[in-house]
Amino acid sequence: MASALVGRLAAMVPVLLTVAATVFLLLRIGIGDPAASMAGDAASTAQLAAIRTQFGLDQPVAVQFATWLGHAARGDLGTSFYFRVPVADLIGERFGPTVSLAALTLAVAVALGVPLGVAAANRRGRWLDRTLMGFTVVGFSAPSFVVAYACVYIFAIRLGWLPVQGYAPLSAGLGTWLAHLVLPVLSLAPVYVAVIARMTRASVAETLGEDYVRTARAKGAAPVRVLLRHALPNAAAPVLTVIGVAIGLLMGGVVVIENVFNLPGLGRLVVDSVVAGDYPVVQGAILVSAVICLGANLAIDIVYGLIDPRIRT
Amino acid sequence: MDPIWTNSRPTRNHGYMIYDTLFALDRDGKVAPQMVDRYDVSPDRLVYTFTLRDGLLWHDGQPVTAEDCVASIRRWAAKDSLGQKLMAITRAIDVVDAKSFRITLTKPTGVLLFGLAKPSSYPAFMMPKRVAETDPFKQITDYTGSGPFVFKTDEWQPGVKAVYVKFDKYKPRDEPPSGLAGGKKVNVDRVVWLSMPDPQAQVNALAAGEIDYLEMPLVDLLPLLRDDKNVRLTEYNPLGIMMAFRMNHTTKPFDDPKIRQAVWYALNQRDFMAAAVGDPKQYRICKSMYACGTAFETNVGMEGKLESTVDKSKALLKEAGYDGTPVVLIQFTGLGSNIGPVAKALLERGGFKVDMQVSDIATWVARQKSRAPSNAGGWSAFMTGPTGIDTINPLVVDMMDASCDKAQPGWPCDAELEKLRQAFMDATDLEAQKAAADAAQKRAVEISTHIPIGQFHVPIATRSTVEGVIEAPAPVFWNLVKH
Repeated sequence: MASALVGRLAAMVPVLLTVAATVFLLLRIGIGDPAASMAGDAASTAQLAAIRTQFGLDQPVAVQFATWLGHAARGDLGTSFYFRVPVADLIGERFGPTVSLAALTLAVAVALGVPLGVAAANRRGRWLDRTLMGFTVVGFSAPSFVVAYACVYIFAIRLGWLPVQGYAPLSAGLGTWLAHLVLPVLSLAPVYVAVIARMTRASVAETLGEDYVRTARAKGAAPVRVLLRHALPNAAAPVLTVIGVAIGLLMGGVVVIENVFNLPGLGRLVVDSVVAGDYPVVQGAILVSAVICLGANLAIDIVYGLIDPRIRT
Repeated sequence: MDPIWTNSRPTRNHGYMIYDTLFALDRDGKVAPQMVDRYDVSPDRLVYTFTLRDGLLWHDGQPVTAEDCVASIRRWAAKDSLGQKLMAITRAIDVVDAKSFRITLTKPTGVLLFGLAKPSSYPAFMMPKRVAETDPFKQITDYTGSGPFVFKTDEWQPGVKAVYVKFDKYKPRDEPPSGLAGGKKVNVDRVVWLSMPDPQAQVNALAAGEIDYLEMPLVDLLPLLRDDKNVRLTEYNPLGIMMAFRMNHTTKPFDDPKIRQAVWYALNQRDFMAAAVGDPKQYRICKSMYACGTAFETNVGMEGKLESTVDKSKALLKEAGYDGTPVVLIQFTGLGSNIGPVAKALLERGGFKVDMQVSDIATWVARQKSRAPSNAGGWSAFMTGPTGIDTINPLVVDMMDASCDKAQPGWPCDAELEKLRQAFMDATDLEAQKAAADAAQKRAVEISTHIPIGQFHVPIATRSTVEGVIEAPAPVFWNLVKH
């Protein structure tokens, strides 16, 4: 198990390098000269050149990449071109809203998706199964921003139960923190509930046809025990895979919801920085997101091993 | 956060919170003293002596001195285009005593005080000497000002929120507030600016009472706000935005003045404004290069133009021997991007071939600076929208700068127009300035530096519990009262 873990960790290095190099190159290909934007219209050629030198933009791309990578390896992600504050500080500030949103959404998705999937599998082909799967189609298909605006209108504007926008850190109190996250989570969760429920249903339904399940039933095990003790653990691997993918999506792909609810998360930071041509922030934020995604997938791999001895090596 | 390093509007607005200016424009656009108590002008109009008001303090408690102001003027003038012109005719800036300083010119001008008062694009904000001595092309990190609010650096979340508290030791002028001039009396303890990217979220937050003040609501959403009895709309900046169509004089097809002339007959303002703004209450047809509603507004040179008289456009193209070289129209994505297709359709109707190339805004900004031919990564035309206050005379309309390579992207090159702009700078009374402004516009239309495509304005939306929004070219927070 330990050697497998070391192998997994080592495999993360080339992935991170590829992500870092790709983002670095894409920025230099896709966005115009940030020195020109920073200098303003009145800048002379010499002043423009001075700014490029100041930020290292006059160096060959390979040198810029090597310099940035060297600093990043030591934990220094550089300084924002525009805000003149360390990129690590900016990312740190944006981390709380993103992690809070992702963790709560995932918790809701798992808490609802798995039982719904199990229930549907247990009643497959019957009305409960069809009804639940019908709901998952709706959940999967409804655009999250439409759900978001509907939630805002009903729960925040009409009923006034919850805030329209903004983020409150956990230090402001559990209730306040939760109040600001309920609507974003309600908007995001349906997709993940639907995916997890459908995957759980398919996986559990397949497992229920296995010999060991039949054996358990033949031995007189109660239906609930058959379902939860024998079928569900053996159906968990695909569900865990979906959860791993969901973590990746939630860490960087929820910029629409962050905008609708004015949550100052990582996704919004990346989009704002791309628009501003703030290279160090984009590079740093994408690298951190990549580390989180890889870390989440590593954790999923470890859990695979825990629930299935066959894949511990 | 450095209003001399960048001329972005949010940073300019931040500047008005924490810094003060020597002079300011009042509600009618007239220059009025602000930090300055009194000033004298020598009979030959070459020497200006300024004396600061008593009791002016920096946020760290130190007194504002003439030395601070001299250093601030120098830093501002290194970045601002009018400042650079003024420095070109400045013999010396000398400190007279702790509260007085003197500017000596080599020739008279009517725009020195205006330059020190103008609110865009780089206002001459005063900073402590230690801060003002920062290279103007490097950002400051010390945000000590002498304005009516103090910036709370410890609460600043870049891109998320900025917090300001009332500067208790600020000494406002005695006059009532007028535009950016007059007494800056602060009636609230704390102002929090939130950055909210989604226009619907902004409106929702205001409607729900989570915010009190919305700087620039999306025009499409104004009906929602008008219907809300808890919301008040204030037209604070009637000069608004002056939209313009800018052509590249250095590459085909707009390197030919006759082909540029054809554009005046292909376009019309109503279609642009209908697409970009929609609500006729929020825009006006303005056939002037100077913002309509200001002293130099004129339609000289615009007669018969901007009416989409496509026959005339086609005839001019035929006369010019237009070979069908496509107009490479660069357009950014996002809000306001719907003017691109309007320009494309109107130009095509007028006989042009158009290749509209759409990109994100950062690429769009960077591409404007490209001197490459339009068919090799360069561009032929784009549309932009300077604020109305940046278009009130021929010196501040950047697009009228026709100094060839030193001009703004588009690089018009015309010695005659430069001479006329200089004449405006040299004019020392309103009548002479008006004549110079008319002549400059006439010439600018002839060589087609740019084409105005409409003027629009957006109100500030506040909760009805908020009163005292000042009519000014920038949103300011003094005089506001929250009940």
